[in-house]
Formats: sequence, structure tokens, C-alpha cells
Amino acid sequence: MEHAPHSNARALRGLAIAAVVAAVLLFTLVLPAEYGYDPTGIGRRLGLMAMSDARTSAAASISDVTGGNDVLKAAAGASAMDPLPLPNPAVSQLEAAAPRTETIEVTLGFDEKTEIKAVLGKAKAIVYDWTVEGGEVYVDFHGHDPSKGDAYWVRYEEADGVTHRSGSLVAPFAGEHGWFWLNVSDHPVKIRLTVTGYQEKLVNYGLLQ
Amino acid sequence: MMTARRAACDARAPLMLQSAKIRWLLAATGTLLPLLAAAHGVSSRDAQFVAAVQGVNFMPFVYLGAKHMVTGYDHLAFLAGVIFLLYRLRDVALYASLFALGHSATLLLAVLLGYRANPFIVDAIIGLSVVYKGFENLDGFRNLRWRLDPRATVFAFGLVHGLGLATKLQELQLSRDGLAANLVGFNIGVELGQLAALSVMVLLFTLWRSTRSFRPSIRPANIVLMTVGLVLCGYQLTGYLLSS
Repeated sequence: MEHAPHSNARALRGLAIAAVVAAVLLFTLVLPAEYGYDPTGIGRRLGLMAMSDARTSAAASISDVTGGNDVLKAAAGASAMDPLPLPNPAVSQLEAAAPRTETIEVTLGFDEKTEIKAVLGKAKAIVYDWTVEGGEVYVDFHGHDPSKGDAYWVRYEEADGVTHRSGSLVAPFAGEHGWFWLNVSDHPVKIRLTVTGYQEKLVNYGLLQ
Repeated sequence: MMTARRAACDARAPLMLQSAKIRWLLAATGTLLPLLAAAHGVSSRDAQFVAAVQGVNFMPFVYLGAKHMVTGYDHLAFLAGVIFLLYRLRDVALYASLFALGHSATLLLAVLLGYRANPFIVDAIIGLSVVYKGFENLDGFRNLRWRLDPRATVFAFGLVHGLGLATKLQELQLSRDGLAANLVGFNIGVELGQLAALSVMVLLFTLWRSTRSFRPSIRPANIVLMTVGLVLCGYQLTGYLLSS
């Protein structure tokens, strides 16, 4: 190789210079920007901490995971070894037992109404399916917390003249979550409801007055 | 020893590189090119693509390999260090082939055997390989009684760089379906990317060496190179400490 000869000590001095410059760059620029580690405070003064802050806030600003997978994918910062913080830890729950499946059948005469509700803890999940035989019904699928009075309720779906619905629900709060049905046909209908999940129980309110 | 090719460059040099500004620009590009390269690792859009595909996708993986090499400043910095003092194209070809042999071996083996090295540690060693090369270019090992053959060290560091390439590929959700073909495609892409990057670097180095500024720049340029390697190493080691 052809180049100007350098003594060994000169090369070592060069290495020392490189080490000092590298340490300065690391502690003032790279580590604050990449990891939010800013022992000197210079990273914050230069505005570099905003980069690592933005990474954590991008994940934290996702309010709910439902339908949020694309947002999670777009959020920068996490590596394959380091997951983003889960915006809502309640979306995944361990249970001691297997999910239970319950089926209830009710027959409604002309203009008769009934209500069947699943008693659910907060964030407990169910999947459901119901079918009407012999006619059509009006349905009000809603949730209600009995401990907070009759005014505390939410509606998931209202539909008239329907014969079938299936879907899923994660309870937004602890309470009763279920279906009010009214027979809108001029002859008797039979409703068959199946609920699978972590309901404490299904409550059949029978024919309502 | 001055080869005929260098003499030709020297003759052209006064015409091409008169202004000191241009010389410094070239000098800066030669050493800082690796720093200017964009993000390392695989971009999230590419990662989504890899996670979504099944079976053999040869060309996309060739492209991913080439892209990874061309934008991977750690590999580029090491290559710049390797060819820094290689004046003959034959030597460049020899060292580049040894490097390619080393990184292909570990890339293929690690992915096919499912061996996952810790990416932080591997990338930290890759940073050290850049430091080593810079130090060697400053003739720092001259007074040591045992001297490692630079061809052997380039091959050995090639093995480490291959492990680094493997960890980048393993971070993706690779489908087992068509893995071998996709992997070969990725490897071919890496070599094509290396060839492209080397062509540009050799060109720039040839121009730079033909200027008067080259000799006095050997020392500062290699100190810059060692700095890059040390920053890379410190960055990865911090990542390792924070992740464990």
C-alpha cells in the first residue's frame, strides 16, 4: 500500500480524537434524538428530544384499538423487538375458563315484546347471532348499567323489520347488554338467540307489558 | 509507485479540479457519502410488503437487497474504509469479493438455519469493523508484532456484516414459503447494490486521489471514518442496554 507513513502513536492519537468526537456526537445528538436519553440537556435545547417524544406520543394518541391497526402500523418508532405501548390494555384479557355458549328461544305473538340481556363485566366480549322465524321484528340492541339508574344507557343498533343479525360486542362498561324485540308481524314469530363469550349469564325478561 | 492510470488522472486533474471548493466537496463526499445515505434497516412500507407476500417473489427481494445495501451506511462506511488505500482495481475486486463471500455465507446460513443474532450486538461489531479499518488505514497496527492479513480481516468482518444483513431480514415476517429463492434474490440484490455503491466510490476516490488534497486528507478522513464507526457502535450498544 502506498501512503504517507504515520507512526503508531499518531494513529492512536487519531483514534483518541475520533473517540472524543464520537462521544460528543452521541451524547448531544444521537442518543437524545433516537432514544430520548439526554444526560447533557443539550438535546432538549436543540429540540431533538421532540423526535423521541413524538414517537411515544404517536402511540399514546391512539385512543382505541378497535379498527386502529392501520394507525398502529403507521406510528413510527417501535422496532421488531420493542412493541408500541398498548393504547387500551383491556382489549386482551385472560380468562380462567373457556367461553360459554348459550341459546334462548322465545315466541312472540302479535305486538308482543321481550328483552334478553347478557350480564357483562367491563370490556368482556361476546359474539352473538339471532334469527327470526315466521316474520319480522323491531330490535333495539343496547347497554345499560342498572346501578346508575334507567337514564344510563347506550344504543348499539336500532332496526325495524329485520329477521337476522349477528355480530360482536366488547362491553364499554359493566352492566346488562342485550336486545329489546317487538314483533311487528301480524302473526306469531319465534326468535332464536345464541351468545358465545364471557357473559356472567343471559337474563330473559319474558314478555313485557 | 504511480500507475499509468493514476498518471493519466493527474494530467487531467488540473483541468477538472481547479477550485479548492470542488476539491473539498469531493473530499467531503468521499468520506461522508455513507453518512448522507438515508435510513438504515428496512422501511415500514417494505416491511408490510414482505409480511403480506407468500411464495417466491424473486425480483422484489433482489430490489430490497440492493436498496438495503445502497442505503445501509454501515456497510458503505466499511467499504469506503476498505478501498480507501486500494489503488488498483484488481485489489478492489479482490477485497470486495472477499467481503461478499463472507457476508453471503452468514446471511444465507443464518436465515436458512433460523439463527438469530442480537441485532444490537451485531451492529455494534459492524461499527467496530469501520473503526478497525480506519485505524488500519492510519497504519495503527504497524508496530504490532502480529499483524492480521487485511484480506483475512475483510473476510471475517464480512461474516459479521452478513449476520447483520440476516437480522434485518429476520425482523420482517418472512414466509417460509419460497424462503430459499427469496433469500437468494435478497443476496443477489445485496451484491448488485454493493457493486453500484463501489462503482460510485471508486470513481470518487480516483478523482480525489488525483488531487493534491488527498495525501494530507488521509489522516482527517480516516479519523472521520473512525468517528462514524464509534458513533454507530455507541448508538447500538445504548440500544442494547435500553432493550435488555
